[in-house]
Amino acid sequence: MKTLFHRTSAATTLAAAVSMALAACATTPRTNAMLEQARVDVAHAQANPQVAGDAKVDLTTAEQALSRGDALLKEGKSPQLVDHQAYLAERFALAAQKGADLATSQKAIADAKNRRNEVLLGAREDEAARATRLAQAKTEELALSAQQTADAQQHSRDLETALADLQGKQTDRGVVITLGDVLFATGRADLKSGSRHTLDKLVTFLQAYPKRNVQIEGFTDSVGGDDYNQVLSERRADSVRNALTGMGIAGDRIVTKGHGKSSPVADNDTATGRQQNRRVEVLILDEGAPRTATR
Amino acid sequence: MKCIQLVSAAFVGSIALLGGCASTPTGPSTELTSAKAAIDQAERAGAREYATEPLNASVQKMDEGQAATAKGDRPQARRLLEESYADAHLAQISAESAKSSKDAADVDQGIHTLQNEASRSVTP
Repeated sequence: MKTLFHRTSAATTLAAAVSMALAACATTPRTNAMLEQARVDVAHAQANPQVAGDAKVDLTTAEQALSRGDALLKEGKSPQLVDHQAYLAERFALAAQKGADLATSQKAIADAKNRRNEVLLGAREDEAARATRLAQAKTEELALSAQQTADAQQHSRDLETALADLQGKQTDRGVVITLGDVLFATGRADLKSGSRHTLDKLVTFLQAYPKRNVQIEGFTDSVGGDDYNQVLSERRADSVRNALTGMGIAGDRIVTKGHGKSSPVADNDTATGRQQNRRVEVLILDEGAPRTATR
Repeated sequence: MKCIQLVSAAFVGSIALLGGCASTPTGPSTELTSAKAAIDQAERAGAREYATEPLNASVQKMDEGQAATAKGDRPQARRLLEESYADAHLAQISAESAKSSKDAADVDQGIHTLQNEASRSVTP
């Protein structure tokens, strides 16, 4: 009985030795499926460049568990112990990967917030730029309108000054300048040289206000027949017209008209009255007024 | 001298006795504490919603670890509690990662909306 036991024991030992030898010959290392799975997971985590910081700590824990598992396997410890380390290695390797994912999305959130601020800032800048443009346009508009008002006022003042300078008379038809009879000899239509000064001022005015046109009207005293005086009045008006065009005023700005002896301004019975009636009136028409205005 | 030895023996004996009195099986307290804390953290991180699998595994390992402790199998209890900790830790990180990824998508969407609104409001 005792011998049998010994022999059995020896056989078992021998068998074990043979199997170990065979294992060694086949160079098959001891393996553990869970440990191999853990090795793959750890390798994945190691290959992930995003694994850093806390995730790196988890990866180190996983690597240590894997090493312990390898060592335990090598020492031939029970699969339960090896599995335990493999389990830990796998879980921490997964945690390392999740940690990397976490860091990635946290970075994405931070980037996104920066982008949001940029968008907001951009929108605000656009808004501000738009407001500035509007304000600027408004200011320019106001400035322009103020300038226009000032110009108009200045223009109006200048016109008044210029008209006053002409010593014109404001009537319901406009400003009338009377070129007195002293400019014409009785029965003559050509201008005396003394008229020059008044006409110079009129030309200056017409050059400064190119939209103002003139109507030139001739008048006579009652000496002589109607036809004679009508023609004479027209010739006097034409004479003034010729003087003006001769000084550079466009002919289309001038209308002439003869009134003969029909519109006296004074008594024809006296020499003084007749003198006043022999005259040419230059009517300065309002801007845009028809040039054929008549009395 | 003999007297001292006697007293000393009695002292040692009493300690042993006290130890015997507290003979409710004590498990690996450090591992237990760590695992419990990790489960708490995982739950606070939203693991119930975002990482159910590892959280459930952790809680189950915790139960098994406490059962092993009750049976007096300290080494097995320690292993189970270590695994419970690893599960809970994974659950926590997974939940945080899932939530963060969702947040990132939301923020991204928000920016797209914002960009659209901004470009709409700028073009007159």
